[in-house]
Amino acid sequence: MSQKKLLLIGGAIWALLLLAALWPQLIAGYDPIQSNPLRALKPLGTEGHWLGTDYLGRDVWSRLVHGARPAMLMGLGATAIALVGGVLLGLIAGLGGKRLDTFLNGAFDVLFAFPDLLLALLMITMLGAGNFNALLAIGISGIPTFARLMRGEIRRIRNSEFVMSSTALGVSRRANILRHILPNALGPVVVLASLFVGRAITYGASLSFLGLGPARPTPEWGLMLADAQLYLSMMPWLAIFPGIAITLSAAASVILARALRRTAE
Amino acid sequence: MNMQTDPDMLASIEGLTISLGQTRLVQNISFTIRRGQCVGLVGESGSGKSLTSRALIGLNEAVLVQSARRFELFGEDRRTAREADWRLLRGTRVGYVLQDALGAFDPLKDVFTEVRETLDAHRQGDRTSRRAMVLDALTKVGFPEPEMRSRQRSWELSGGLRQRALIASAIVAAPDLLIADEPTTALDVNIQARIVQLLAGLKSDGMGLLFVSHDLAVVSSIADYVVVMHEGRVVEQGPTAEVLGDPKDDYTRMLIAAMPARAPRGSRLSSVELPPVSRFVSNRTETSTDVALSARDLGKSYVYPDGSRVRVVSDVSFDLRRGEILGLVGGSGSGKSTVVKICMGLVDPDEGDVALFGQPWTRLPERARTPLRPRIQLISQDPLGAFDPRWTVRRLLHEALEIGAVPLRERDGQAEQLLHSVGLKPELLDRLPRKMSGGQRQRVAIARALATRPDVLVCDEPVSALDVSVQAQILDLLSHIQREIGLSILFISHDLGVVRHLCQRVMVMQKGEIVEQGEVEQVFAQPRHDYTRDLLASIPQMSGARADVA
Repeated sequence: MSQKKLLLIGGAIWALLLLAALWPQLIAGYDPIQSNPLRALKPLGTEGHWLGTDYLGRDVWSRLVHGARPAMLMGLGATAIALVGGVLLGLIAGLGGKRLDTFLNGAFDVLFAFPDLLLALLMITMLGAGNFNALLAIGISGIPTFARLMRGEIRRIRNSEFVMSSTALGVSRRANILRHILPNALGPVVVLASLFVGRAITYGASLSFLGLGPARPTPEWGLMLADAQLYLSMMPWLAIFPGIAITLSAAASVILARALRRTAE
Repeated sequence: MNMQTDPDMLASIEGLTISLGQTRLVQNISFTIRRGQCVGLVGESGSGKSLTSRALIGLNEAVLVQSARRFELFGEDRRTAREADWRLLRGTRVGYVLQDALGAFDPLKDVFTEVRETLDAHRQGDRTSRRAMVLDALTKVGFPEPEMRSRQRSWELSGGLRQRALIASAIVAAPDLLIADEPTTALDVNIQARIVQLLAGLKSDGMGLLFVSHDLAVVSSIADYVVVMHEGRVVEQGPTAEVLGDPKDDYTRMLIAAMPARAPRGSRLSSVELPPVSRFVSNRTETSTDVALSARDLGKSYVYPDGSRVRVVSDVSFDLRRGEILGLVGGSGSGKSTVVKICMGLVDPDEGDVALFGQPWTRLPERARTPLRPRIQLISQDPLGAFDPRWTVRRLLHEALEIGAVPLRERDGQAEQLLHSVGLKPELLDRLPRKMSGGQRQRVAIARALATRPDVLVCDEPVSALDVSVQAQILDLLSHIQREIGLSILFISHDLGVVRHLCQRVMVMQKGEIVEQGEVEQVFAQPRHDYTRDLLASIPQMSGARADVA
C-alpha cells in the first residue's frame, strides 16, 4: 500500500475516534450504561442493534463508540504526563552537571530494565485502582523512555558543531539552549510521543481488563473484553469488536507517528 | 578491434553518454587506457568524472542510462554487459579504489579478511595460497608488518594505512586495470605523495590506471594523459605535458590559475567581483597593543575512558599581530583543531593561556567571556555543520547581528549588505543552508562572522572542502576583506600552497608542537625542521606546466 493511502486511512481512523470521543451521541443510538435485561445477548444483525447486545442488554455499538472517550483520554493524557515529565528530567540530565547526569541516567536505566506495563502495575498497587490512577501510572511508567531519548538528543546536540559555532559567535548559554538545543532535540521526542499514544491506549485497556482501571458500568474497551470472556464460545464478537477498536486506534497512532517522523526528517 | 590486434589496449571508450531521464550527466566522452598507462580524469564536483569512472566497472545505478559508440574493456564489447558479467570482471580484471577508505571497509572485519574477500568472491587459490597472496599484496602497497597489523580493523588504522589496505584489496587479485576515484583527497600531503608513488609503481609494473581527481597537480604528477571534464563534457584532453603546458580551453586555464601554489603570492586567483565591505569595520578603538591574539605555553591532554592520557598540544606559543594573516599548517592529528578551540575559548587549556588584545581571554569564566566573543570569530571547514539545520540564512545572520548589537529594525538591511559584501544575492536570505552549494555556504559563514564586526578571525580549514575554482574565490574574498577592514586572521590549513599564497607568517605543527615558525618565504625557501622539509617535498608539482611562479 502506498504511504499516502496508509496515511489517509490512519487519519480517517483518528478523525472517527475524535468524533466518537467528543460527540458520541451523534453516532451511537443508545445509552451505553442503561441496562435492559429483556434485550440481553442479542446476536449480530438484530434490528436496531447491528452489533448485538451484551449480557445486560446494552447496545454493543453504542458502548464501543462511548468507549472512545476513555481510550483517547488515556492515550493523550498518559502521553502528556510521560512527555512533560520525560522532557523535564531529560533536560536536567542532559544540561546539568556530570554527577546529576550520572545519577539520573542510572535511575532511568534501572527503571528502563522493567517493562513499562510492569511499572504501571507496580504504580497501581501503590495508588490503588481507578481511572485517573491508571492514567497516572501509565504516564509515569513512560517517563524513563522519554527522559532517556531527550537526554541523548540534548547531549548529541549540545556537542554538535553548530551549537559550538553559536557559542563562538557569542550567543549566551540560555539563548543557545532555547533557540538551538531544545528545538532540535524535541523533534524525535515528538515522534516518540505520537507512537506512545497507541501504546498508552493498549496499556489502558490492559489495566482495565485486569480490573485496575475504571469501574463498571463505564463503557470502556478493556472492560468490555473482560465481560465478554464468559460468552466467548457462544458470542465471540463481544470480544472481537472491542479488540478491533483497540488494535485500530493503536495502529492509527503508529501510522501517524511514522508520517510525522518522515516530515521531521 | 579484437584482442589479437592490440593486447595492450585495456579500455577503449568512444562517445560515452550517461543520462538520468532527459538530463545528460556525462556527454560524449572518449578515451583509451593502455597497459602501463595512467589516464587522469580531472574535474570539479558535478563534472561527471566519478560517473565516468564507475561506468568502467559497471557500478552506476540502473536508473542511469548509458550509451556509447564503443565501450570495450580488454577487447570485448561491454555495452550490453549485465550485472553478472560485471561481477566476473570486478576485482580480477578491474580494481576499484575509493576516496573514503573508512566507509569502504566493514568495521567488524579486520584488514586481512577484507583484502582476502576479493579472492574469496572469485574462488581464487586455496586457503594457504590466498593467505600468501593477501600478505603479498599488503607488502606491495607498503603496509608495515602485514602479518600482525592486518589483524587490525580499518578504523584502528591511520588514514594513510587505511588507503594502502584499500589499494591492497583492489590489487590482490592482480587486475589489469585499476580505477582510483580521488584516492588521496582525504589524506595529508606527505601521505598523499607516498600513495601517488605507490600507484606510480603499480603503473610501471604494467597496470593500467584511471586516476580520478579534482586536483590538477596530483594528476599531473602521475598521469600520462589528461581528460579535463566540466559539467559532463570533456573540455580538453591530451598528453599531460601538452594540456598543462599549453592549455587551449578557458576552463583548463582557469583551473590552473586557481591553484594557489602556482600563482604569485597575494595575487588574485579568480576573477569574481569583490564588493566593498568597509561597513563592517570594527568600531572598537584600542591602540594599547599590536598583538591581537597571544598564546603562551599552551598545553592540553585528553583522558580516555580507560585512563590513558594523550597529550595533543604542548608548549604552543605564538603571537598573531594586528592586521596580519598567520598560517598554521600540519597534518591530521597534529593538534591544529585543538589550538583553534583553545583560541576560540571553546576548550580550556590545561596549561598556559591566550590573551586577546592583551586582555585575559581563555582564563575568563564563560560568563565574562561571552560579551567579548563578538571580537573573535570562527570560520570552520564545514559550514553546513556550523549552522542550525532548521534555520534560514536570514535567521542565521539576524542572530549574529543581534550579537553585534544591531537594533532589530536595521537587521534586515544589514543582512542584505552582509550578503552583498561576500558576493551573494539577497534572494538567498530565505534559503536553508543545506539547499545551497558549498561555496555559497562558506560565503554565508564569512558573512555571519563579519556581522559582529570582529577584530580577529580564526579560519579552520575554510577552503579544504571546496573545489579549486570556488576555493580561489573564497581565498580572494578573505584576503580582500582582510585588507579592507584590517582584520587579523589565524589561518589553519593542511594545504601549504594555500598558506603560502595567503599568509605573511607561518607556523608548522607536528604531534602537538610547533616545530617551526617564521616568515612564509623564509620557511618555504629554507625549512629548518625535517617535518617541514618533508611536507614541502610532498607538495605535488605541476609537471610539464609552464613555470610562471614569481
